[in-house]
Amino acid sequence: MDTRRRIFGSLLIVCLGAGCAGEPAPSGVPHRALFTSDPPADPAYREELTYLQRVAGFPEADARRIRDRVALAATALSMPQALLWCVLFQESRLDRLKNARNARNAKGIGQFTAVALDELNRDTALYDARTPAFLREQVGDESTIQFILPTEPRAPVPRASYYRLETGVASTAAYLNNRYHHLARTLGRRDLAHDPQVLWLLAAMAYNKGPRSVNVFLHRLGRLKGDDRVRAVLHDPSELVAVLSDAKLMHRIYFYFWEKPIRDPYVEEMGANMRAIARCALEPEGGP
Amino acid sequence: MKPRTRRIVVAAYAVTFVVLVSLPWWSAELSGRWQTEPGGVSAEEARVLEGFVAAARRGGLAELEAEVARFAAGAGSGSGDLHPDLQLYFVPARLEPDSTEREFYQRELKPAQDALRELIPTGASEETTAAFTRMRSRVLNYELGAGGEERGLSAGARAFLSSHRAAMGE
Repeated sequence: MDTRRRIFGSLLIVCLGAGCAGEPAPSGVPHRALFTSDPPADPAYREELTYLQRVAGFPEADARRIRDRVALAATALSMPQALLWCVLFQESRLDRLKNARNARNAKGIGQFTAVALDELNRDTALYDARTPAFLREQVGDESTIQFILPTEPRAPVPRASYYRLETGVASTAAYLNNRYHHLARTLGRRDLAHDPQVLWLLAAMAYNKGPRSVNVFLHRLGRLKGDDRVRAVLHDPSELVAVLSDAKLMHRIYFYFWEKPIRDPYVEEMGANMRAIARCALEPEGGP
Repeated sequence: MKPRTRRIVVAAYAVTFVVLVSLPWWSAELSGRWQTEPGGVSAEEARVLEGFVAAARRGGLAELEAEVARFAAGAGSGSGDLHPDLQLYFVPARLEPDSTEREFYQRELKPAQDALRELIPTGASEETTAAFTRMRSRVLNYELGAGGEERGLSAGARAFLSSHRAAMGE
């Protein structure tokens, strides 16, 4: 174990020197921006978005409001705009009322459960001290965010409702931001060097399947494939996607964590989800 | 060295070389079993977890803590083969030194658990329920993320929450 720590310690020193832990790159070497400035990056998703707007009746005004709110939240919480937009797109296809009127647990634009709202209402300062004030700006001082819809069809959605577009985007941003800060602290505790942009992708994974799934992933990957592979995953999104798409390895990683009936669909979903997020949010290879 | 001895030494080297070269292949072949075996906690570990819940039902928090202590004493001193669920939720002192779960335990789980355990002896109250709800929320968010279904909870998390609920007298 000490050897492992020493290796990670040395890697950290090497990485910090090379600017790979999020520090500015050495002069003359631009830090590569992984995220696109205009999501979705993938042409197929662009077509789908056009279809949603022109054929399926998704209002263009709502699409603009979502982009504005994503930009606002991303600036307030220092997160990649493209990632937040793509998480919303992946979770609900930007449908703020998804599952609002059925019994499914995951609801709204970011597919939240009541437990996720609970974190934002009670515990969000534990992760990032900026989020309580950010959320208060969206919902007001006294309100807690809830799944509520007006009884009258044409009445406005209450400000504190997760189904309100602005509140839904802000809540999703805050929750994603919480996952990022949890992971950053976890890696910091172990002196694990990482590219913060890749960490945002892992935050999206934690958003979808819980931070424990990411912690188990990194720990077991190190055990099974060595620390170099962990380091590669923390610096290279294509390596991350490759590992998440390797079903055999993923089954080994999660063997002790999930029983087989759950492991089968979850492993498949994790790979598919990360591939979709990467296609949507990342600048294509060879892009700017 | 006699020719016969030399042949034996060369053969031994060749066999060792072949075995070493084929190790990754054997490893990959053997790893195929991960895809078919049930995984999660073993039957024995499941019995241990059930034992914790049963102890909490029998004698509340004191009995739960005694049962966990008995188990920890019998399970040796290193993290060894102790299942990660047992390490995180019941014997955190045995979390592996390089565990990625320490951050969650120290910053989120332990404070919530300590707050609840202080309140449980005072009996059922709104504060006790609120403390349990906070602890449950942290566990569920940690294990399931924003939209996960509760069937995705680990066996350890389920036993942890059930045992505390039982210790509260529910």
